Formats: sequence, structure tokens, C-alpha cells
Amino acid sequence: MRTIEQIFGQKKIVPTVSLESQEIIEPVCNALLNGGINVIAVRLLSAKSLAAVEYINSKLPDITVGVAGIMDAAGFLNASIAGAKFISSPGITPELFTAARTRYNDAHFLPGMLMPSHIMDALSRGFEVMNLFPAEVLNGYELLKTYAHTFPKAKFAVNGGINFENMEKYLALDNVVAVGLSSIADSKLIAAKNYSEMTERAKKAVKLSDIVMQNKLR
Amino acid sequence: MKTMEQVFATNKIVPVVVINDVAAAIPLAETLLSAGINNMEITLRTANALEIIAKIAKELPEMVVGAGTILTRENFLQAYEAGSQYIISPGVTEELFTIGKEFADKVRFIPGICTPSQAMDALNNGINHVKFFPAEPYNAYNVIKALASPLPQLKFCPTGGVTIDNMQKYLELPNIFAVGLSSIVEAKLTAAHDFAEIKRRCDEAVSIVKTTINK
Repeated sequence: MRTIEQIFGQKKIVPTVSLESQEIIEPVCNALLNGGINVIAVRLLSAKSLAAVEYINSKLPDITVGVAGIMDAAGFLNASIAGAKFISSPGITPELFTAARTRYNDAHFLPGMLMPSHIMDALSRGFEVMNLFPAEVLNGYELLKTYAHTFPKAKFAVNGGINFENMEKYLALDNVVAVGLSSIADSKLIAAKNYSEMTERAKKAVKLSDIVMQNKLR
Repeated sequence: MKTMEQVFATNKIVPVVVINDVAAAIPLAETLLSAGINNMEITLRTANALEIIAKIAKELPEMVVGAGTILTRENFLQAYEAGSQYIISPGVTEELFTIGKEFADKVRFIPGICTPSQAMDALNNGINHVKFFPAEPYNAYNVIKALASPLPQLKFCPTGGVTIDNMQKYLELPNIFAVGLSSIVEAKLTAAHDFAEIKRRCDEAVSIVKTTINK
């Protein structure tokens, strides 16, 4: 199994997408791939979301599929059986941790959290990569800077309010493994089937990320 | 065992220390004492932290040495055995509350909290002194102020983003027992043995405490 860092790669961009009809799955994935992004997080909204995950996992080997917005153990197990390679939740419950452990070899679990107590809980259960949510409304950037000192082992995918204007500051932090962007393929673009614009936005995100990574190496 | 008041009443400052250089331990502790700061939180973020706690506890009994960044029961035990007189965690877990109670007559456990539920949890576990962490990103000044009415018995030590520039507003709150300051003993100053600069920053912090308390 690839590590979560390997899945998110150097670009560290994860588009979060709602895929509720069969015919858009392939064009949306191709639009992302054409823009240089090979990861997608599908929101778990219905059985159709799971069908999309299954389709991507079995038919589109160039893109790695995950699931976002898991609320309970059933959702976790369904997502992982459908083929999700990473699964994130907005918050934590004991049953989610238990479910994640049973599928330890199939999917990475990124438990949602904000507070030191929850980070300690996750670390003590062996989960070192987490979903910082909701980031932007609760001073996520400042929290991450503090947590880098207090919890050097903890790494974060950052979600909630991340956009083209604020993504760079998060990507510049060493404890950030990814930023979740819903604007790359938002519901308007999907409704309009505007795949070329999705590709443009993916390219824009990749370009911003590349600049941040180059600056870090300096 | 000293009371919380005995430890913190004189200056209301908890210097948060990241130190790995054993040779710097005693000069650093002496610098703090010379500025009138008689306690220090040594974080378990470095390989030599426990050794340094033991060394200061043994060689400078007038310094109250505490341990910080305690994440697990094992960390707690190691910190206690090294001679820590207080133990601070960034957050709370059942495991830490349990060991905190087991050791209640031996060492002071100061858990980190940042929500009203966690504050209630602390009180229900017999704790009335907590760290509020991380303070600045979580709007601690307003939260601590708001918690004074429903939870008057709980006293806070805001830490995380608290600096010489913003510490005064916290000290003016009635339910503060100390402020946690990492900037006065910055890791790079300790590593460079720049005790003169540490002394200068400590003096500045202590003078802010004095003027605020005497207001």
C-alpha cells in the first residue's frame, strides 16, 4: 500500500468533488488528469457516490480515488470496499477509529480534527495523518503552525474554506500533506459540464503548488 | 508538594522551554531564577528533556521544574520519575486524567483544554488549574473571560501565541493563574547559550506582570 504522502504526491492538491451521475465520472477525472492532478476525493452523499468510487478504482487506474465526508462506521466500510484509498471524516467517533482499524491495509483514515485533545487521541491510536477541518473559519493556519511544534509527528490534510487565494500559505507549512479544494470542480461546473474550465482550474492549482514547493527548496 | 499558588503567585509566568543541550540546563535555570522566575516547563520534545529535568531537579532545588508536551501515560510516568513537580499536557485524554488522579498527591497535573466541555471534564476530574492551548488561535482571551462566570473555580494558563506583546490583557483577567511564554526562552537562544538575551526577555516579562498586578 502506498503511503498517504505518496498518494498526495508533491503537488499536494486534492479536489473534492460530488459525482452523482454516471456519465460525468470519466470526463471529470480526465479533466483533472489533463490539468496535472491524479487524485480525487469523492464526497459520500449517496449510493451513487459509492458507484463512482468503484468505477474510478476499477476503470481509471491513472487517478487515485478517496472519499470525503464519512460520518460513521458503515460509511467507512462501504467507501473502503468500493475502493477508496484514503477516507476522511469531518470529526471523530470511537466507532470510526474501530472501523478504520479493520480496514487498515486497504484505506488510509484521515480523522477530522482541530483540538489538541483529538490529535492526542488519534496519535495514541496510531493515526498520524489527519484532516484539519474546518480550517479557514477556525484559524487553521495558526493552529497548524502551533501544532508543528507540539505534535511533530502529526501531518495534516487541510479542508474547509481552502481556495486559490489562501492555499499557498497552507502548502508552505511542513506539516501539511495536502489541501482540499472544492472549487476545481464545483457543482456549477459539473452541472454545466464545463470540463475545460475544470482543467484550467486544475492547472492553476498545480502551478500555485509548484511555486510554493520551489520556494521551499530554496 | 508546593501549592499552585506557591509556584505561580510570585510571577505568573510559565516559561515554555525547548532544550536538548544538557550543558545549557543549569545556566538557563539560573538565568530564570535571577530574573525572579522560579519555575520552568521543559517540553518532552527533545531527546535529552528527561535528563535535563532530572539534572535541574537535583542540582537546583529552588527551581520548580515541570514537564510539558506530555501525550501519554508513559510520558507522565517518565516526567514524574525524573523529578517534575508539575506536568502539563497539550490536551486531555481519559488515560491522562486517570494517571493524573493516581498521582494527585505526588505531582500537579495541568491538562491543556480549549473548550467548555473539556473545562468541565477537568473540574469533574478534580482539577482546577488548566492550561488553555493553543490560546491565540482559539481566541482564548474572550473564551477565558466568558468562562469566568459559569466556571469561577477554574483557573487558566493561556499558552500558544502568548507573547510579551499580548500577555498583559490575559493577566488582567481574574481567572488566570499564569501565562505560558515560549518566546522568552526561544530554543535558538538556549542552543546558542545567549543567556543575556534570555535574561533581558525574562526581565521584561516579569516587569509586565508587576505593573499589571499593581494596577
